[in-house]
Amino acid sequence: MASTFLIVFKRFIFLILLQVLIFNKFDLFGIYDPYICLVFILTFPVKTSKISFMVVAFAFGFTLDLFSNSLGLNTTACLTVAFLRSYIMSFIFGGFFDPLGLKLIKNYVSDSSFSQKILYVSSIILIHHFILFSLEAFSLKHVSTVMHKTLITYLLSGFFCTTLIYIMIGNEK
Amino acid sequence: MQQFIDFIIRKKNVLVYFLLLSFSLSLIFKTNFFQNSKIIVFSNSTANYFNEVFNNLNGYFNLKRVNSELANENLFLKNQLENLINKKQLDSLDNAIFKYQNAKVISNSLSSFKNYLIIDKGLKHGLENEMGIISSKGIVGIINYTTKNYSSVMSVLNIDTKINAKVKRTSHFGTLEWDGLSGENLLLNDIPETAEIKVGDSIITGGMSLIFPEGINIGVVSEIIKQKNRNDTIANFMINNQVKIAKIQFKENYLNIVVKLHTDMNNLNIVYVIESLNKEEFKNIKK
Repeated sequence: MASTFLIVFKRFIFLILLQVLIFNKFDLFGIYDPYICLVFILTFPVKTSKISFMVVAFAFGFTLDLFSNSLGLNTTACLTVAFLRSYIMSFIFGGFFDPLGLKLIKNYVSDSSFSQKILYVSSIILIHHFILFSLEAFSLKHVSTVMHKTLITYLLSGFFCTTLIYIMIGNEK
Repeated sequence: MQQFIDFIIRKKNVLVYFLLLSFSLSLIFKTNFFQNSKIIVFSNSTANYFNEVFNNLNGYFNLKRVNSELANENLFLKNQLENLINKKQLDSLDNAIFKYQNAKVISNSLSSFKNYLIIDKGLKHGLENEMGIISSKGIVGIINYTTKNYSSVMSVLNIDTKINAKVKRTSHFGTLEWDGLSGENLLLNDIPETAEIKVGDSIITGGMSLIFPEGINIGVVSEIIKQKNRNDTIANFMINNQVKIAKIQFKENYLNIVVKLHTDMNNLNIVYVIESLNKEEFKNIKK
């Protein structure tokens, strides 16, 4: 239990710093930033109870918000993704999904098929970005703009998150 | 009662989710409507401290560019001063309507739909809401919230910003807005189709409010989209599909003009705050 706590705590600090200090200043084509902080939600240990997962995700989003001057936006998006993750996992990984959480991320990556990986990462990122951007714009007038931005940011975040996850697996024992 | 407790235990995940969700949603709406909530003051002061430290480190890498910009601006101002002295307008201070102060940008977002800048001056230095911010090249935004030491500035790259602007050559007035998809272009709306606007025309502030003085550079026209063309395609489509609409005329006599900003929002360092000295008087007469 203690080691899980330590891993989560390390990732929490590391990903917040990575997002706030480096990726928030990325600004591809002027306005697009990848959200690498989603790696925290994607690779959160499955073993922990859902309530503590949601509380931690809430705290994670709130810390991000404090530094990016957007109180509540990241919090809502992270919390909702955390709530939906177990449904998404059981839907995509099917029988392979293990609610007891004896499997590491490494096992998920090596044992699932390519389309399962893509679906899992994509659905989490798309839901997160869609909630984040539509809450931010908060008007029907900007629906097409929200869609446009969601898609482009999704491509960026997808690329960076997958890369980071593969790097993390390399270090996982 | 037993069933009720069972229900709560069974649905505890969902309940916790909605509890946290309502808290986070209330945060969003509180910060949108009541800017002076305690949480935002706390978050601004802690985050600003970190941002300032980080920005100080980062500042060294930009020194060369900032220096050359300042030298250019000095040159420009010296030329203006020369003109003024030749005109012998020695009482210019009596007629001054606007006062300038400089400030440093300590954090700058570009990636959201509602972008804000934080500058290192606040109530202590006499800043208030609704003061204009410009850089040496053109407009940057409007102050929307001030604390003791810092101010938050609503950037022009914000989907809620509306700025009164005009075309320098023809003096047509319009409203400047942002579409949320490009870091360097704004849209100028409400200009009638009869105006002969060309690509390359300068756009300047209109001077209809006391936020910005008249004649501050904004950008140049980079593209003109005629609404008529769009309606023609709709009309053709309808004719091709043999839809008979008897007497509907497609009338949209306004241009959509894409304006390329002079200011590079990505590289802001030193900005100027414009304080209007006649603000109170103007407010009184507006009542």
